[in-house]
This record gives sequence, structure tokens and C-alpha cells, in this order.
Amino acid sequence: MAKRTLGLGKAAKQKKQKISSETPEKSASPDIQSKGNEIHVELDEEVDPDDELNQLKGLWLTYVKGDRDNEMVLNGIIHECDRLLRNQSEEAKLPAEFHSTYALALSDLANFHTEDSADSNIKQYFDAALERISLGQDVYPDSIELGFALANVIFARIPMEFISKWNVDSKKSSDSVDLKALITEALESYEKSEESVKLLKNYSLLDNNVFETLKAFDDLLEIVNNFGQEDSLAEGLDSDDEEEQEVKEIKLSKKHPLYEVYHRSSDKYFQWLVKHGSEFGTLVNDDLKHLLKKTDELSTKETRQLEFLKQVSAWCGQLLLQAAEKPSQIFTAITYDDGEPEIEGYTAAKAQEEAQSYIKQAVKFFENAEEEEDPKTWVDVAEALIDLGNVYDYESKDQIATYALAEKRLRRANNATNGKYQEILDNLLSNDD
Amino acid sequence: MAPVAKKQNTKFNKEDTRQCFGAQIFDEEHVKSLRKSIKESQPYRWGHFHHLFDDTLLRNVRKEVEKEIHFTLKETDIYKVFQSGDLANLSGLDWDDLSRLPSVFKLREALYSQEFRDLVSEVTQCGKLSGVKTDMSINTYTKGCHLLTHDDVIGSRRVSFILYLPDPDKHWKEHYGGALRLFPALVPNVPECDYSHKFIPQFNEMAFFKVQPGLSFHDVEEVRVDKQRLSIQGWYHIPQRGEDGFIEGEQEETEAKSTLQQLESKELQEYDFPKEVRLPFSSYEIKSYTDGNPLDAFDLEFLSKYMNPELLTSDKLVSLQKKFVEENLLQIDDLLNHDYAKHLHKLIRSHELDSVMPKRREEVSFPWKMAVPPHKWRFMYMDGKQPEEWTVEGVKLANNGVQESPNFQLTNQMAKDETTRELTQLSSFMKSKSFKKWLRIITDLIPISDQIIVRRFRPGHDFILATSVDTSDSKQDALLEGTLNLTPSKHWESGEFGGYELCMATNDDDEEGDDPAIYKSSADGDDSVLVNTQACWNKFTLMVRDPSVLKFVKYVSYNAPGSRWDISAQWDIDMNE
Repeated sequence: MAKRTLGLGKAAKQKKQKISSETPEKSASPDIQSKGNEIHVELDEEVDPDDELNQLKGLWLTYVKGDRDNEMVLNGIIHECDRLLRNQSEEAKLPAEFHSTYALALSDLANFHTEDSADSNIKQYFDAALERISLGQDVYPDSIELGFALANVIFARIPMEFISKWNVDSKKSSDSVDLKALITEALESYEKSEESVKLLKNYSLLDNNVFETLKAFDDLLEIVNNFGQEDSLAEGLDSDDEEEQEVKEIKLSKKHPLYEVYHRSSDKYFQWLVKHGSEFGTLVNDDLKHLLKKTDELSTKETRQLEFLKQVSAWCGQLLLQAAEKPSQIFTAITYDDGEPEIEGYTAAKAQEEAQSYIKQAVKFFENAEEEEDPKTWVDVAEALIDLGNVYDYESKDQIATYALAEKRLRRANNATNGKYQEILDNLLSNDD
Repeated sequence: MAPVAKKQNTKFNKEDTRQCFGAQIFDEEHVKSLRKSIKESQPYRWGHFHHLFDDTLLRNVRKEVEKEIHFTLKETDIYKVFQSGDLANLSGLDWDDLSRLPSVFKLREALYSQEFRDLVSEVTQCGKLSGVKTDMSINTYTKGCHLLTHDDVIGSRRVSFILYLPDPDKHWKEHYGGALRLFPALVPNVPECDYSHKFIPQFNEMAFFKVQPGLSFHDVEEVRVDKQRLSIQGWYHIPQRGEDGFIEGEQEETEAKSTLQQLESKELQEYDFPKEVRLPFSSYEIKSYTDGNPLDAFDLEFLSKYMNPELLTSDKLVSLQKKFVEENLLQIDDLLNHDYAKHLHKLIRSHELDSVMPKRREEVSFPWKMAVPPHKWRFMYMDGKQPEEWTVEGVKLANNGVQESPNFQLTNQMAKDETTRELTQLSSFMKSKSFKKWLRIITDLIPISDQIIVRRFRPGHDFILATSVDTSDSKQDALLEGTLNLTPSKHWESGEFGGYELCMATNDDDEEGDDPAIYKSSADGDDSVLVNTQACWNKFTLMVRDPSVLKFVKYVSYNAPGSRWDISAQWDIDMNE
């Protein structure tokens, strides 16, 4: 038996010498190289791993879980879709879900080609995605998945294919796209699918793809709101800069292709988002509650689902807080500043009631998203509670109790994070004085 | 060492130079008051210029840097920073760069002009400064970037300066981090655990200090938010041969005092806590597991209280041993059994969530202690020994007075909270004969002495710089070393928050000729990395470590999800006959 080499460093050196004397030329074997490109595809425990559609689903999930930044996986999905399509037989038609996945993948492909010289490239991906949906709908006219997917593709294409090419001085031309009509088409398609989900009471259809559709619309509205001021937001945003970096509304000409959406419809769209976004959160809430209550250890699929539902909940919370901003500001302005008794049709009481209603819902959503491991989620609840406290009557029992609840959470989060929330906490405590 | 700048033909006259600076800089009153404030400054001689340069010039410098200079992330045990790649040292600027970077060029001329050097020399009272040996670079610190405590003493450096260029139109707030922090020294070469003064960077301000061997300890606080802290950082050197103020032999004398050499000096190890002291076991104890006895019923029952029973089966023992003998390394997931691990996880996690984390040394209470000095390491620890007082007298007493052995069972009685109690229990367990017997079997080595330390690396504070082990008093030229990772929080996998324990091989062949400023090898993309263990839960890394292995624990980011917790153990070993 060879003498034992004692020591990690010495052994490594010996090994190195040995390797370099054995293989003087070869630096890396092809085995190792190909290993780096291997993709681990996760399938749910209960599905048949040999089923090609399950494999496609697994691939799509892998792509989504990888922050949607792996073009190789996406290309793989598209190749696989092409192959399945070619092998499709009359007797065994591909399901609607296949068409929606294919369409979403095509639409996402545009993200990887924004730098391409030919503008038509992006358009080509979105056109192909829409064509796929339309072909799918020929076979499955009432498909819920395809309805949601249509909305998703439209929301994704508007900023990339159109808005990104405009500046504040752009002018409409005869062949300019009718954004309003496009958005309406997407919203109607979403609503129709949502209605079907409710009729079927099959809320498991409200999956990540649907959530992504809502988020895409949310992003679209943000892009519209920030139109013309991208530069001022170039540096990283931090909470303390909110005041400094408040977005100022610009004035667009009536001839601007974004005029209608920017000046006339954005409030209406935001209301739509609040309604349907919170509806989504409410519809999946039972599932969330069920998982939260479960005492046995969760399966991989359940853990993933819980994580997803908490994300949905936190997003809904944010959305409702945003919705509460306007009535809250009006309530505060009428109550604490010397001013009008009524602003934009709101009395103080009406504004207060509306703000409270939104924020109470937001608090519930944030509570559902709370994670013992993540102090940021406690702070989300605390901040919503502070907002709620702010729209209760000054020094009322409700206000004092709500602030106290917020303080408790903030103190704990502050301990847990090395004092990261000291400023919010100090602010709250100085409010109390 | 930085190359000497090419002789430029562009000469700025006195007036041109002064125009580069802010209006008040050369005013007699300003100079006087600055000199006075530096003389009275603490913890050592330092000062700062407000509105140092002409605003337009510096804004142009910033624009050129943003446009022309490419930054790459460099990370080692001591820093994480974006350095300018093509212009690592601005002293290398030549005519090609002049057209790309006219304002940067002008700035360098102004910084090293006779007028400004004389001013710096006057306010710091540090003697003449070299105009030919220029030495400056551009760095940017973004979220997570930091530079740990050091004294800047290398070669002929006389004055260090940092000119700040964050966004000129925004105020840099304290909670963004990125401050220059100054550390007082307990005695020369031994910085205190915590800083005493800090300077928050603002656009067009320059902080500077006299480089004082063993005294000028400072760090760059981690940038905590998503902002760019751009700076130009450099040194004024001792006058070179032929320059006004050149003194024969002065540079050599300064170099002799270099920090690197002093890190090696034996004397200063008195101030290192915890000390590397392994306590020998009794010959009776050693004999009981040298004979190759298998684990008996007592051992199995005892070990199972804490350990995963799967690690105690004969088959597993054989396979672990085989792997360890081959590789000198084992990474064992789930060392602790499910129930005990769950209990401990809950204790540690709720401890870090619900109790206030000590931030400064004096806030740490026994049986926890603070590892010092911070130019080597900083972390909280328990070694099971009596407390030491952090004063010159206290350190003397600790080194020369009563030398009691560690006793975690006693420490356990002093613990004020359940988490601390449980961690001392677990440390006691690792000192049990049954555990040593298990170690003896899986390593096929005989442990003959040990040191067990519970450690907590707090976010925004703690780290261990790369060190090797001292085997001078050991039978073998290697030690058995184990780390039981007990970090209960999640999301450490990427290494983004630091807290990983990394071992790398030193390369004795090319040590000569390296830049002494980069005395710690780079950790990224290096094939010298032997093992890198991210902070995680219930994983035991066991290795035979020889003096050629450098090991460090990366600074834990302020934004980390919690502290890194572990129990670190060292055993001297003997080979089986």
C-alpha cells in the first residue's frame, strides 16, 4: 500500500504533478465540458416522467425558475414544441396548454433579441406567438390558458415593440398602432378566461403564467407612467430616495402615439389591475391557507406552490397599498391641511373609508405572505399597518393599536437585520410623540 | 510597485495648477486651521479637504471615468471592489490616454503638483513628498463592496488619500455605508476591535492621513445600498533620489516596518485572541482509542443523542474512512440527528431574530468573547476559557498568568440564554471520548490534542483573513480540522453575502516578485481553491490541513440573511503504527 499523504495541500500538489505528467496536452476533457451544459429538469412526483408533454412542462418550469434568463433552455423548449407539432397525429391532438406554452416561449424569445439590428426580429417573435395562439384557438376556442396567454403576449409586446421606439416628441402616423385597442383586446381576453375559471371553480388554473400576465400589465403601466424620464431613474433606487426621485408627469402632445393611454386611460387601467389583481389573490387564497395550516412536512410541489402563493399575496398587498395612495393623500390633505372640504369628488369621510378598505385588504395579503425566515416580509406588514394607522382618526384607539402592532414587528425586524429598519422605526416613534 | 510616471511635456504653471482647485484651498487661514485640526485629530493624524477641486473639472473627471474606464470586480479575503482594469494605476497614464482622459490627466498633474504636495506636507507635517513617484487608482464600491482593516504601510508610502466622486448632485447618506473608518491602536500594530472615527464620503471631498506604521489602521465600510461610491485613491511617497527632501536610507527604514513583516512577528501574537492552543489528551485516553476498538454500546448511545445514527453504522464508518484516507477531506451533510438539529436550528434562528446583536466589543458578554485584532480577524466566539481583559495589562495577564483549560460544562452554567447553553453542550460533546473515537475511526488518525471554538460571524462585521496553521509543535506536519456549520438562515448558496470558508493552496514557486499590496491570493476563478464551503446548516467539513493550505472566512455582508454560526475544531494527530 502506498504511503499516505497527510494534508489537503500536499495531496493536491501531488495530484497536480501526477496529472500534468500523465496528460501533458489535454486541458479539459469533453466529458467535463458537456457536463456544464447539462440541465436538470424537475418533474412533479406524481406525473409520468416519460410523457412528452410533462417533459415540456418541466422544461418550461425550469426556464421560469431560472429567472427566465437561459436562452438555451428557451430554445430547447421551442425545438421540443416544433418536434411535438410535427409528430402530432389526427387522433391525438396536442392540448391547448401546449399551444399556450409554445406561444409564451416564442414571446419570451424576443427578450433575447432586443439588441438585434433588424427591428423586425422582435415583431417576428411576437407575431409567431400570436399566430400560435390563434391556431390553438381554432381548435380550442374556449381555452382558458390560451385566453390568458393572448393577454400576456400583448402586454409583453407593447413596451418592447412599440413604446421603446418612441420619445416624448414622437408623432402618430397613419400606420401607428392603436394601443388602446390592443390593450382592450388583452383585457377582454383576460376577463373571459377569468370568468371561466370562476365558473369552473378550478383555481389551480390560476398559475404562474397567469400571475406573470398581471405582472406584465403592471410593468406596462409603470413604463407608461415613467415615459420620458428613464434617465432620472438610472441609479439604483432605495427607499430613502422616494421623495427625491418622485416621478413628475410630463405633457404629451395629442398627436403622440401614447397620448390616449398616458393622459386618459392610465387611471382606468390601474383600477382594472387592482380589481383583477386582488381578485386573483383572493381566488387562490384558500389554497394558500390550506398550505399554511398544513402541519406535516410539505412535498416539493407544495413548497413551490406555497412560495408562489406568498409571492402573489405580497404583490397583491403592494398593489392595494398603491391603490390606497390617492384616497389616503386626500384624507390627510383635507383633515390636516387647511384646505378644501372636498378634493376630486372625495370628502374626508369617503376618502378615509376607501383608503381603509384598501389598506385593510393589503394588510391581510401581507400577513399571508409573512415568512418566519424573512424579516422583510414582517416589515411589509408593519409598513402597511403604519399606512392604516395614518388613515385612522388622530390618536384614536384604532390608530394607537395599529401603530403598536407595527412597532412590534418593526422592532423584531430591526433586531434581526442589524438595524436596517431603524429609520422607519424612528419615524414611527416620532409620529407617536 | 507602481512604475514611475513618464516625464510629461505638458507643464502647468503655478497659476494653471491653482485654477484646478477650489477657491479656498490655498488660503492661509484655511491651511492654518487644517494644520491645527490635523494636529489635534484622533485616533491618528488625518484630515479632509472640502470642495478640493474646481467643480467643473471634477465633474468632467467623473464623466470621463464613467465613459472611458471599464471596471472589473475583484474579490479576495480582504476586499471586494470594482477596480479599473485598463488603468489599474493612473501613474501609467501616457499620451494615448491623454486624449481619452484629459480631465483625469489634469487632475493627476494637480494632485502631484509642487503646490499641492507642499500644502499636504504642510498640513500633515509629514516631510517632503515625491513628485515623480505618483501612485493612484480608480475604484468603485457598489452594494456589498468593502475593504477590511489595514494600515497601508507598504514601501515608501507617506500620505494616503481618497478623493470621493459619488453622484455630484446627491448627498451621500450615512446609512449607504462606504465610509472611511479609522481604528485606534491598543499598542502599535494592534488595532482596536472597533473604529473610533468615520468619514462619510461626499463628492469633491478628500480624506487623507499620514501613513504611520502600526498606527494608521482604517477600513472602507461596506456599501449597503445600490449606489456607486466612486473614488480615486492613492499615495504620496517619500522623495526619490534626486528629489528635494531625499534622505539616503529613509525608504529602506520605512519598508522594514511594513505590516506584512509585522504580521509575522512573534511578539504581537500576544494580542491575538483566540489563541491557537490545542490541549493534549491524557495518554490513558489516547490509548483507549488507539487500540482500534470499535464503537461500543455506550459510545453508540452517547453519540446518537446528538449525531445522525446513519453515520454510526459499520458500513458507513468504512466508507467514510476510505474516502477520507484518499482525499484528506470529508463533507458530511446532516452530522446532527434530525430531532436535535431541529431543536438547535430553532434556538439559534430565534436567538438571532429576537435578541439584539452585539455590535461593538464592549457589548459582547461572557461566555462570548470577541476575536481581535481586526487586521487579522473579527468574530464572536466561545472557547470555554476564562474571560480576558482587553487592555495592555489584561493581555499580559492572559499570556502570563493563570492558564486554565477550557471547560464548556462550566461555561454552560454561566450562559445567559438557552442558545448559548446548547452550543456549549454541543462543544462539550465534541470533546467527549466517544466522539474522538468516532473521529479516530473515520480518519484512521489518532487525535492527541484539541481546541474547540464556537463562532458567530455577524453580518456587517466579521471575517477571518487567510492564515495557515502552525504545526511547529505537532508530531505531524499537519492537523485535523473540522468545521460544523450551524448557520440557520437561508440564501447563502451564491456566496454573494460572503460567510464562506475557503481553503486554497499556496504556491511557493512564484511568491517572489508579487506585488506586496496583493499579499492575499485572489479567491475567484483560481484553481488553487481546494475547498469552498458556503455557510449552511448542519454540515461537517473535516480535513487534514498542512501548512501549505491557507484558509479564510469571507467577510459577512451587512445584507446577509443572518450570522454565520459554526463550531470550529482542531486536533493534533498521530499516525497509526
